Amino acid sequence: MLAVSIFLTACQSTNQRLDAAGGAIGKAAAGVTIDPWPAYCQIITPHAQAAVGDEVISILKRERGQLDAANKRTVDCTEYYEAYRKGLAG
Amino acid sequence: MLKLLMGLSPQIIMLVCGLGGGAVALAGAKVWNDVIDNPGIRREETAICLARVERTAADAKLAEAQRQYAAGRAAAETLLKTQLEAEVTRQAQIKGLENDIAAYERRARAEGRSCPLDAGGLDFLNGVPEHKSTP
Repeated sequence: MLAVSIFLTACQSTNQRLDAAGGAIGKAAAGVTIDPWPAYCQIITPHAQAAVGDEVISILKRERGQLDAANKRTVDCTEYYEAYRKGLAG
Repeated sequence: MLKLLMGLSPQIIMLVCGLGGGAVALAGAKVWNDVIDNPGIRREETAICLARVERTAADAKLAEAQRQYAAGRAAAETLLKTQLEAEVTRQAQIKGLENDIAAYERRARAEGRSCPLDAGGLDFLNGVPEHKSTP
């Protein structure tokens, strides 16, 4: 009975090692596939429209609005990347 | 030699022959074991181990690819939700901004503080060199 137990334990240990090795090989073979950078994060924020006769402060105000929008997108994309990175790290 | 053998009792001869035959059989068994049987078992066991590792590796590769896909999908879904919310918020902000600007411009005109952009200022904003904008 003891001999059978020792034999089975040895087999189990070997199988565990084989499975661990296979798992490592498979994970390495899978590599890391990164999704393309989202289209939302590739948007270029244009300047605010400005024309002769427009109030200067109003142009500045609109430009600041565009900057706010661009910064918001930067924050969103940073959060996306962090979430993605953590997800990949598992 | 033959004379010596003939002088031995049949029992002794049988014993000697039996021992010799046994030794030959044992030696043959050892050769068969070392040359044929053990290498065959090793090949078979190696093939079994290899198959197990290959199957485990294939499963692990698929699982890893699925895990990475799920991670990307989860992050992308969250970003899409954020994007939709940001677009709604942005539209509301633009509407509020234009209302604020209109109110400011009315107040500035009423107070005589209006400062409209001229052609030179527009060229400057657009990065047109000064010597090109002046006649």
